[in-house]
Amino acid sequence: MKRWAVWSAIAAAGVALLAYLAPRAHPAVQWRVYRNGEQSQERSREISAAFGVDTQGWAGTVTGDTDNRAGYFAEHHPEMPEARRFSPLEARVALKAPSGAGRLLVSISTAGDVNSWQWTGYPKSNATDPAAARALAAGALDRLMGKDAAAFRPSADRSPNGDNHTFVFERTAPLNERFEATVDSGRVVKAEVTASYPHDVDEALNERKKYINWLQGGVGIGIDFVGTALAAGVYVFWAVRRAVRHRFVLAFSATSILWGAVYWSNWMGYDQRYDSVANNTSLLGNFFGAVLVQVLLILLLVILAGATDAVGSPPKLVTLRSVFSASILNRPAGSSVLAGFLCGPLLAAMPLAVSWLRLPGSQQTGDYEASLIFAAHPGVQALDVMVDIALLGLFGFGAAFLGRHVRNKWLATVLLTAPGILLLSTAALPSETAPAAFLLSGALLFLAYHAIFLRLDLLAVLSAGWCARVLWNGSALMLQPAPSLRSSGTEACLFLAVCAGCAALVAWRGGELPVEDGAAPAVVTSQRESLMKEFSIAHRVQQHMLPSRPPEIPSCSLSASCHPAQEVGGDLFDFLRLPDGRWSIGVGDVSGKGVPAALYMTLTKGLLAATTQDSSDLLEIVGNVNSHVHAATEKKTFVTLAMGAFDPETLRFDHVRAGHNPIVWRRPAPDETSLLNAPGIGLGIVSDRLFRRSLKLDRLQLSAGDALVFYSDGVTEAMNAEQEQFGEARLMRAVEAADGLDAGAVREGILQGVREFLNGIAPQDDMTVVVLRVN
Amino acid sequence: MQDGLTILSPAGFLDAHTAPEFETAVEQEIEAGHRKLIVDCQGLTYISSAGLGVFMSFLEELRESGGDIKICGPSPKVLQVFEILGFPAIFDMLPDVAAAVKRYAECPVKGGE
Repeated sequence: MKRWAVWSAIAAAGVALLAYLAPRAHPAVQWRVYRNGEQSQERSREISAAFGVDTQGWAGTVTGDTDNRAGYFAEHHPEMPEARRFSPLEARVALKAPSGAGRLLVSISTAGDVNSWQWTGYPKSNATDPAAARALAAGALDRLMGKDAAAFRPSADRSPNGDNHTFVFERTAPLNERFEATVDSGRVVKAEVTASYPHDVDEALNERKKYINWLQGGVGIGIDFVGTALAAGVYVFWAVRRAVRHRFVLAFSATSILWGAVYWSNWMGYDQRYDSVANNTSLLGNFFGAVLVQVLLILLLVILAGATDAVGSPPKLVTLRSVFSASILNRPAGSSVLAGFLCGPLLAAMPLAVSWLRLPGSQQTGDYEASLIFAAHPGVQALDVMVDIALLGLFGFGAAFLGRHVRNKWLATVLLTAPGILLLSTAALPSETAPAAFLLSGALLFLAYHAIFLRLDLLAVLSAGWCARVLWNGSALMLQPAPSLRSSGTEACLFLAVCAGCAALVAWRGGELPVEDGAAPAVVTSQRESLMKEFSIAHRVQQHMLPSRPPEIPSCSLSASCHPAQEVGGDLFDFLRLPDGRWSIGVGDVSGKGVPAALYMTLTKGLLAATTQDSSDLLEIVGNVNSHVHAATEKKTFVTLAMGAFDPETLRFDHVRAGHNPIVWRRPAPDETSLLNAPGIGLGIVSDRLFRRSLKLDRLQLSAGDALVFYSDGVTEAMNAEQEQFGEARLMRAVEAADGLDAGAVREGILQGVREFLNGIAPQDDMTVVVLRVN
Repeated sequence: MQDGLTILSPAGFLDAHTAPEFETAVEQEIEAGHRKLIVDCQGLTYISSAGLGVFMSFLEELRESGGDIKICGPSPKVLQVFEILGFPAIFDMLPDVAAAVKRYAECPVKGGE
């Protein structure tokens, strides 16, 4: 619970910061959009009617276009309201007649001023008399410029070009504007007002984008290309070398394609349709162009997902993998998504804070997301954000690849941090122009995402990235004066809140993280069949003896599993309440394998249950069990046992080790991992007296976030094809990688690590893992 | 070589598959009247719980008749397995055969029980 208090505080701080900074630093403030796409269409139908074209029944489509020069000029001449007519963002409307009566193209500023109206493919009739044509042109000037029309002076009449007449009017103050009207067949067919800006606007624009352009070019070639090539190599190498289950990658690809299709259909719906109407190109041609872009993007995602699956550290991937499996509603995944969402607002606010600081020489680049505003459904468009390729590449593939292949920890950190900062500098929104500003944004974002990755996992990072992007889009909409856009933005943010609520519900009430079972052994002959049936019954009976789910113990999470290498095994674990109220946790391993081991396993289990009823003293309990096991077993059979007693109130942990593998104790706070090597001989080897003399009780004080991992030697001695053992070092690393995750995720991370280490080889010994994580 | 000492040198993997073989070898030595055994683990790369069981099955019998098993020369990995189980409290563990021979001279049966 304490953990969630921290995440909630981060979320609250993020929301407060975002609410303060967005109206001050979000570039969308400059847009001042009074009309959404639909209203812009209405406006263009009105103006068309005024020019004598009835557009009822005409198909309309709209997109947005940006003009950086207009934006820059208006921003630097706040004293000149006339400059605002040429907004940095314009709605472009295309209206198409159902029959062959041509097309209308209209440009409307965000304030609703018509800057361009043009009719092509109009029906021709008799030529117009020049005087009447001039009157029509002057009328068009009035229509577009209103009371400002009087300031315009005729500058040139282009003599009739065939049948049409073009008239130009200009004014030079306060800014250079030019109005041009074309009259043909007795009607106005074109009316357009444009501004010409001083040369220094272009120069300033080029100059200020110099560094960010260099960075984007460099990152594009240096990091994106090299990184993708490396990832593709790793994925192919891994896929060829091992017989891999591509299940995760396939599911991930399918989801990406589906997601891409939503994005693409939304985009096709207005942007590409505008293009096909405006330029009279075939929608099919645009369709393939759009699909190609999506295919490349998805291919990139799939390569990175595959490489991530190949080299990723299992505990960091387990929840992401589970999301692409049947058991999507599991608690750890819910926790990761929720924590990611709670970090989203702060991540969205960080680059805005940098932008708000106005570091020396820095300005926003003014690259605006026009498609968001005029989309048919701006709320949907705001949510339509793909998985961030930079985050997947950095933390899915990059961190794991470097962790695996670069031995020096410092070097690996540097190799991840440098491209990480550069990559996130280019991805930061708003995009700033001065190196000091964009590098600071990149560094802050990298640190934040890296912290989330270390404390949680990849799913949390991707959720946080998605949430931050949606918040960026949503706040851009909410900052507009048009009420419909504001409500679209609010809807997008509400949707985020609903998602976070669902994640919270899953985190609270969801299922356990599933353990992937190997395939059932194939039955070969009928004679064997009945024997196998007996064994499978024995397997079930034995699995029933182990607790099906760990008890609910306050202040910690517990998770346990036992996988016998054969049908029946000699490993056991149990959670038993001691008379003094503490909880005992025991993991044992009978020597040998198969049926004999299984029989002794049941004996030991029963002895433990019996002895813990009368005593809370671990030395006493284990001593008694030893006497019985010693008396009851063959000489060569013994049982090893690690047993602890946990006090949920004081977080004290007493433990004894009777010849068993030492418990792993992970302390994230001082970043220490140790093996609890209390002395003690295995059970059933020596008589009571010598046994009790060998045994020592150790006592630890646990703190919040600590993890204890009990396991059997089947984990550490799991051997791969190269005859290497999984070993304690890998086990400890797997536990470290799961810092911040609950017990289930730690356990699954360890088992996944062993499975990957074994690389298809069946485990030779029973594997038991029991994890306790202090909340 | 001191009189009556027998050296057994299991090599490679001593696990559930190979333990019966090793068990037979020890049995044959005991039947032949050899009671003072030295198990030279130098060539041992891996030992499982079944392998460890072989050491224990004969210990009592040998010690009752004035014999012992002394273990020598395990690699660090194998030694770790012995240590986890608590073998050093039960068996004499020595660095090499020479040390084991010397140990037999000083103390034929490890005390304790």
